[in-house]
Parts: sequence; structure tokens; C-alpha cells
Amino acid sequence: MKKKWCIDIFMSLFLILAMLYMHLGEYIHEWVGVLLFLLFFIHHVLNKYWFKTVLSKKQSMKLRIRSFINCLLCLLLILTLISGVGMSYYLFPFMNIPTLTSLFREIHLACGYWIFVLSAIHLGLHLDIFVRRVKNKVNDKRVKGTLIVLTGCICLYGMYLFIKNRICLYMFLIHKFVYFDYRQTLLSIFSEYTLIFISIAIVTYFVVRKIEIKKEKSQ
Amino acid sequence: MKKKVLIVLLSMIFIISGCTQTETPQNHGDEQGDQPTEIIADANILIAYFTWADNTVVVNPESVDVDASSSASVLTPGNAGLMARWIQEEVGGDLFSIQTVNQYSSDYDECLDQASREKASRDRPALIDTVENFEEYDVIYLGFPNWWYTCPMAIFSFVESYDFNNKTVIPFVTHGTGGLSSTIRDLTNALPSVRVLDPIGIEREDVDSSEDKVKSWALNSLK
Repeated sequence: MKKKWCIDIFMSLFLILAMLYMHLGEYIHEWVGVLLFLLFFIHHVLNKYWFKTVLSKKQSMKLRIRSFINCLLCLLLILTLISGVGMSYYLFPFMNIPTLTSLFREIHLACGYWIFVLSAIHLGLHLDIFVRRVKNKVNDKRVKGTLIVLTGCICLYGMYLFIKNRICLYMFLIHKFVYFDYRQTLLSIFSEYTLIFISIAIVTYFVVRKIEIKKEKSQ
Repeated sequence: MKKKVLIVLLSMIFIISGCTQTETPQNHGDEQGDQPTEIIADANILIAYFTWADNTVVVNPESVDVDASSSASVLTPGNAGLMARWIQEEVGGDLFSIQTVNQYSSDYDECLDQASREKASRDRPALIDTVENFEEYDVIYLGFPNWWYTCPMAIFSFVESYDFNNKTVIPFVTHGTGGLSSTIRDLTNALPSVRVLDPIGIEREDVDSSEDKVKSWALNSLK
């Protein structure tokens, strides 16, 4: 179980690093990408049961949404992998297709940002295990209150950063080049993307929770 | 419990670091840039620029849709060329268009592909002309578009062809949604110990309407 958590944390870390293409430089970006795909692969092997649930017909709404997002993620990952390798200069120069660079660049950009957002949603759909654990351990009302307020603050700030960093514009290719401020430090941009990632996950968790509570009431 | 407290603390640090570090003041290039600015009076000024329009062939200029943001810049004088002329009108100096021996495609995507290949292989495209009496200039306004997050490789060919010691470089950049990206960082790296002043970056679509902005920036840069 601990191994799984480790892989998940590393995967999130590498995913966020992969988003910082410009700040890390192309050479490191290619390595981060390769390691990320290895981690994705291990993640899939460790969660083999997922493939079975996709095929089963009896699924709750939540499971269906999960499966849909997982399938989408898989598809996007393959597209990102192909476009990335097709543009690679350092690690896979023999696979580089120069005539398709422009097309690959746009696919890689849009898919990359969709993966970032959908991975955060994917995390949000599995966040209930984590939240349950915290709830069981925290009994003090004051600590609980602070945690709730903090979560709210993180969400709001994350949403602001989501807009500030123009994530949506890249997802839909309205902007075809990512804006990079070369004066911004790596730590600063890393923390911004981390916060965006966490807040999307938290918002997803709360939205799903709300729907579930509504359903329970109506039943 | 300890773990949770740690997570909360970490996220707080993230927020704080996010707040503080994004607002760090600009610092371009070397320490000299931080010195109180002096008026560069009677400076000999060169306005060198690389523009797509001067480095491509458009077979049928009438076929170019001037409303399309990617096409307008292939028609002379080009975006950087236009800015260079405004700068000249304001501060004087000599114009020099940096031109490569091998031309670029007038198709936006193909040109970008070319630029990306050159960037990856760190090409230094051969240039057609040289600046006469380069050593006599004190201030060089250097203009170019942002190509694939950096300067066109011809800019590095240009910069590496001359001795920039004791000269002041003032960059002006045209760009798309990527902003200045790493153009200025790469330029200052290519010009170690050269004074590089604050650049101006104009979004491609706004170039036509930026005459006043460019002119007042050009004048202020010399103060």
C-alpha cells in the first residue's frame, strides 16, 4: 500500500515538473517526461483492477465517471507520448519527425494541460479515503475548523492561479504558446502549479460529495 | 496528526513563496544595469533587427491576408522592421536589417518548424551583410521576434560576429501569447558582461497601434 502512495506522490511531482517546460529546459523536460511515463506504467500495473471495472456493466455513477476520466487520461497519455517522442531532440532523435513538429507541438501542449487537469480531478475522485482518515484522527473542533478554513483558502487561491496561469486557454489551444515569465523563480512557479493541482482535486472532492449527499437524501 | 500539520505548514510555505517570489523586481543581465542610469548623450546608435519579412520570399504578396495575425508580419518592413523605423525617428541612428543566407518559409508553421530545428541544433545561420565600423557604435537597439520561446538563431549569429565590449544593448521584441519567454535570458547569456537594458515586448497583433509606446520607450531607454 505504501508503495502505491509513493508512486502516486512521485507521479504528481513529476507531472507538475513536466508542466514547467520552459523553466527546466528541453533536455530536463524530456527526462522528466520519460520518468513520468514509467511511473504511469507502474501506477497502472499496481492498479490492474481498474481494467476489470471498466468492463463490468454494473457500475455506480461515481465509478462510471471515474472510468470515463481514466479512459480519457489513457488516451491523452498515449497522444502526449507519441507527440513528445516525435519532437524529441535529445533522447529519441531517431524518432523525430521534423515535418510534423508544429502539429505535434500543439497536440503535446493541449494534451499536456488536459492531463494536468484531469489527473487532479482523478486525484479528487479518490480523495475520500484520505479525508476519511483525517476525519477519524482529528477530534479537536478547533483543529477541524482551521483545516476547513485553510482548505477553503487553498481552493480560492488555486482557482485564482488557474486563471492567472491561463490553463484554460492552453487546454483549448486559444493560446498556442505558453506564457513564461523568465523572472519568476522555479520554486515560485512550481508552488503555483502544485496549488492549482491540489485545489482542483479538493474542488472535485467537494462537488462529488455534494452530489452524493443529495442522492442519499432523495433516496 | 503530525503529518497533517506538516502538510498544512508546507502548503502555507508554498503560498507564501508563491506570493513573494512572483513579485521580485526585474533584473536584466549584469550588475551594471542596477546602477543609477546616466544619460547616454551623443551616443552613436545602431538599430539592428531581424524580421521575418526580410528573411522570406512571399511569391504573391496580394494573396497575403493582412488580417491574419500570422501572415501580416511577412510583408515588409515586418513587425520588428516597423518598430526599428519608429525608434530611428525618435532617437536617430542607423538601421541594419539582419538577413540570413538561407531564407525561411513564408508559411507560419513551416517557419516555426525551421526555427525549432535550428534551435535544437544550436545553429548559427550564415548572415549576408556585416555592419560597417561596428566599433564606432555605443548603443545597439536589437530587435527580433520571439521564435520558439527564444531569439531567432540569426540573432546569436549576429551577436557572436562582433565585439560588444563597452556597448549597451537595448532589446525590442515582438511576440505572440508566449511573451518574452526566454529571449532576454538567452540574449544576456550570449552577451556576458555586456550591459543589456530593459526590453520592450509588443504583442504581434498590437504592433501597428504601438507607435507612441515604442517611441517613448526608445527615448526613455537612453536617459
